[in-house]
Amino acid sequence: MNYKIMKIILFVIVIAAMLAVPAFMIRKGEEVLNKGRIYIFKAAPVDPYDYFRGRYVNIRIEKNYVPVSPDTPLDFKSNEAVYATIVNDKDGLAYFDSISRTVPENGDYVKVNFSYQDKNKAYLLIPFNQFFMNEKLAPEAERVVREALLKRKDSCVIKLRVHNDTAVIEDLLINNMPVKKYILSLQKSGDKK
Amino acid sequence: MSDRKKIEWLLGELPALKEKGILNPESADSLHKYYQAIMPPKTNFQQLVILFFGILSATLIGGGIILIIACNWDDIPRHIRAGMAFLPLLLAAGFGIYTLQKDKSAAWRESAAILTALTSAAAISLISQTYQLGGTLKDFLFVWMLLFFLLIYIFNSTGTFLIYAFALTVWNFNRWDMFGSNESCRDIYFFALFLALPLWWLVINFRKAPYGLKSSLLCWIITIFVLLNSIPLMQPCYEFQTKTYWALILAVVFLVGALRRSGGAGFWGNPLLAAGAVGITIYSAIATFSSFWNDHDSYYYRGNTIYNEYCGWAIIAILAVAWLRLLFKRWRNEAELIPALFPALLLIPMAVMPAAGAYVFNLYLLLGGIFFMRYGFKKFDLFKINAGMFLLSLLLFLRFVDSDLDILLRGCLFILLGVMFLVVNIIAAKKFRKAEKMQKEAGI
Repeated sequence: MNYKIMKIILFVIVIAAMLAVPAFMIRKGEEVLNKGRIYIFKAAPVDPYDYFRGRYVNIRIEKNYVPVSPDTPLDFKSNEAVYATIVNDKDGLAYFDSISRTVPENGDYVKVNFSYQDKNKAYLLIPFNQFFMNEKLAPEAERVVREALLKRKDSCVIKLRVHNDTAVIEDLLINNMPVKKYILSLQKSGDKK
Repeated sequence: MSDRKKIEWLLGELPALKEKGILNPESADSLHKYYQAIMPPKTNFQQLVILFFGILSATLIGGGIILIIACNWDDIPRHIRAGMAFLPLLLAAGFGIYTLQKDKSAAWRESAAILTALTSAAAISLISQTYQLGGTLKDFLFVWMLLFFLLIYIFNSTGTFLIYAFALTVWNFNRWDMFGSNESCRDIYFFALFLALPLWWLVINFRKAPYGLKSSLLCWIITIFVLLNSIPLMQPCYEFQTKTYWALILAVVFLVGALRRSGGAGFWGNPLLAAGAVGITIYSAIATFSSFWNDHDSYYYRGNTIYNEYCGWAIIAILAVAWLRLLFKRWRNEAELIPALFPALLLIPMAVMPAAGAYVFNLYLLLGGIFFMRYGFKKFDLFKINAGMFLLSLLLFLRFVDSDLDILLRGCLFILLGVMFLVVNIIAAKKFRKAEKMQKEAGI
């Protein structure tokens, strides 16, 4: 076969793989958004800028740990991949209940990394910590989220959809209102906080 | 001297050799034909400028696309935004196929490869942010590098190799896990795999024109890559493993540079030699302090002994084999032997008597300095004389720093050192001129 044609065929294969990866991501994202169960986590904020991924609000789940017995040190290495099960408390807010190396048999779970154990808390490194927004709205979102959290007069929660071991952030809610809607309503009323 | 210059010189000599009867006309013609055919093309600076701007424009266009896409078009429905992510990649694919089909120039090939690589990154990023999928930079780079590394081969693209080397370095620093978890141990195998992926392309290019412009550029990328990536590579290992690794890698880099120099690479085409020599000098200077030899058997993090025990030793064993092989090749060159033996000088005191290590390295710098000065005078090489004087001055300077000498006395000693440099250079230059004149008069 002609060397030039071989190169073109190889290039087409590479392009097919390059298209397949985002296509697979879309399928996964759609599946989680359509079939996933909703969990609401309390949030905590920071805001960096990622050149490749635009503007986002860096969010932190407040309860980024699993309650454990202080008497029994866990046998996990730092940064080790683990499955964390999610349950709701009596107020309807979600938290991580347990961690294991194997896929849990019951309930919803996400794949996270173990960080360290501090007495009765096993801290986790959680990968869903960025909420992407329009680059004009992101700084504003960061401001309102920070104010909501620091002044504690408004509630700020992360709406997460979980399906199998994948989680996607569906929205960031302030006083039960999507953050974008909340900012626009503030701008409309001229009451910029 | 480059390959082209060497061949040009040889072709220039042929008529004289033919005239003097050293070569018969047939042999001279055959040699002329043969070397004329294999002579590398003359570097065309106009083409180089076009190539540079081709790469620059592709990078700017790719970067611009990423920035536009990074805008998060909130008002556009999710499905349309997802579809948009594929558009730049499809355009780049069309551009790439056209370039390959029409067998376009290097500037086109570089642009097509870089654009395809960057737009594929943009597609993954846009989908990731559209669906708020999260993930880490490390995972993103892992998938991206696997997707685009073949473009280096398909388009024979140095620019894409540079992006690959940069992405792999960022990935390696992200892999760096100070606690030495199982993941970081597993990732070391992936790092080895990523190192192997563009290897054949490098071999092809170095074989084609070992001392050409492309090889020189690749040498620069490789030198920076090797030195930078050594930092996270050995971080979770025992301290004495890290020390051994650095001694071996610097000696290997130096010896590869020495091989390239003997093959004809010029200064700018051979950063390996300079990086190795400077690295060995700095390392030797550090080893003259007794604190360097204390606690060398401790290790930074006790998180994972698998990495320390196996990966660390495996890396060191590979390097040691490479070092011994290169040392065997360059054994006869006495000027290269002094820096090349540096790992042995480090390892023997470390294993036998660490307390004597600092003395060994003080002696090493002293004898190295004297040797290079003597060698420089013998071979009429002003650079080697200055290198020798530099080593002696460095040793004196370090011991001043270490001592409690008065600041006035230190000042006087530095002036004395400066004067010594000047006087030796003047004497050497005079001596060399005289020798040159005598050689001319003798008709040598």
